[in-house]
Amino acid sequence: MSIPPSKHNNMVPKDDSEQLERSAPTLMGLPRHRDPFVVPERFFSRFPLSVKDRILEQDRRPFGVTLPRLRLAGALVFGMLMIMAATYFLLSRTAFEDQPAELSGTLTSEEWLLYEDSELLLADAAVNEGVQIAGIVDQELAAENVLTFLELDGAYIDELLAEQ
Amino acid sequence: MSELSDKELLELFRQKDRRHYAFDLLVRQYQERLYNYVRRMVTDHQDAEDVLQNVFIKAWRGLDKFREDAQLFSWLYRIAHNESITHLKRVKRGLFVDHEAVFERLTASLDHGEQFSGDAIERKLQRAVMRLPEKQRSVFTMKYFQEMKYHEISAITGTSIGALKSSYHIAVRKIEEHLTSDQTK
Repeated sequence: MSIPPSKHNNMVPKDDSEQLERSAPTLMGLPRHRDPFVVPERFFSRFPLSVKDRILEQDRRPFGVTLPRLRLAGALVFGMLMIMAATYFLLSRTAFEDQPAELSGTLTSEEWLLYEDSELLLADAAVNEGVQIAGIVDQELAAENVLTFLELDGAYIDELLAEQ
Repeated sequence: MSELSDKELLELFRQKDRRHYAFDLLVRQYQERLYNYVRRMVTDHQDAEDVLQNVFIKAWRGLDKFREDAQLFSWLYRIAHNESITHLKRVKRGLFVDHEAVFERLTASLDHGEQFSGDAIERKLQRAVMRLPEKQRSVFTMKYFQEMKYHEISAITGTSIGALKSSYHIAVRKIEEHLTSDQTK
C-alpha cells in the first residue's frame, strides 16, 4: 500500500520532535513512511463500486435504514412499559401494606348489624331534616336528591317512607 | 484525473442528477488516506474494508447536512475515527473483554504474509501499537504515521491539544519500551 504524500507536512515543532528523539530513539529511527500492510490488487479501483452497490442495496430495501431505528424504538417502549409495570407493582404493594389492620379483618355479625343501624339512622336523619351531613354531603340536599342518593346506595327507601 | 476541491465536489453533489458521480469522485479521492488510517487501527484488511464501507455509507447519508465551514477531509476522518473505535469496541464485546483474546484477534493478520509484508521490527511496532488503548492508538496513528498536526487531530477527535500531546508522549514512551524489550508479542 502506498502512503499518499501527506498534505500535513511533517513539521513537528522542533522542541517536540527533539524531545521525542531523545526519549524514543528506537521508534524515531524507524522508517515511518514504509507501509508494511498488504492491500489486495486493484482494491482501490473496485472499492468505490462496492460502496455504491451497498448504498443502492440499502435504498432498495425501505427498511434497510429504518429497521435498526425501529428496533431501538421498540426496545425503548418495552423498557418504559417494564418500568411502568414495576412502578405500578411497587405502589400497589405499598398501598396494600399501608391499609389499617382492622380493615383487612372480618366483621362479626353484631358489628355488621351495628354498622347497618348507623347507616339507616343517618339516612333517616337526612330524609326528615334535609340537613347537611357534615363530612359526607357538603351542600344542602333537596328531599328528591336524597332519595336518589339513597336509591343508588341500596337503602330500603320503601321502608323508610313507610316509617314516615 | 486531477483532484477536485471540496467545494467543487460538494457543488457537484448538490446537483441531483450528478450526485452519484460526485460521490464516486469523493470516494476515489479520499479512500486511500482513510483506508491507511483505518487499517492501522484495525490491522486486518477485511475489517478495514468493512469499516471503510460504513464510513462512506454514513458520508453518503450525511453529506446533505454537511456544513461547508468545516473541512470535508476532517469530517470524513472523524467518521472513520468513530467507526474504527466502534469496530474495536464491538470486537471487545464479542470476546467478553478478554484483553489477550482481543489482542490476538486484532494482530492475527500480522503473521500472514498476504496481509503484512513488514520485517520483525515493523511487526513488533505494529504489535506495540495494538497494545495501546484505542484513543491513544488513534492519536499515535494520526501523529506518527500520518504526520498530522495537533490542531488537525484536535478537530477530528474533539480533544484539546494539550491532552493530545500528553497522550502522544505516553504512547511513544510505551512503544519505545515495547520495542526495546525482549517481548516478542
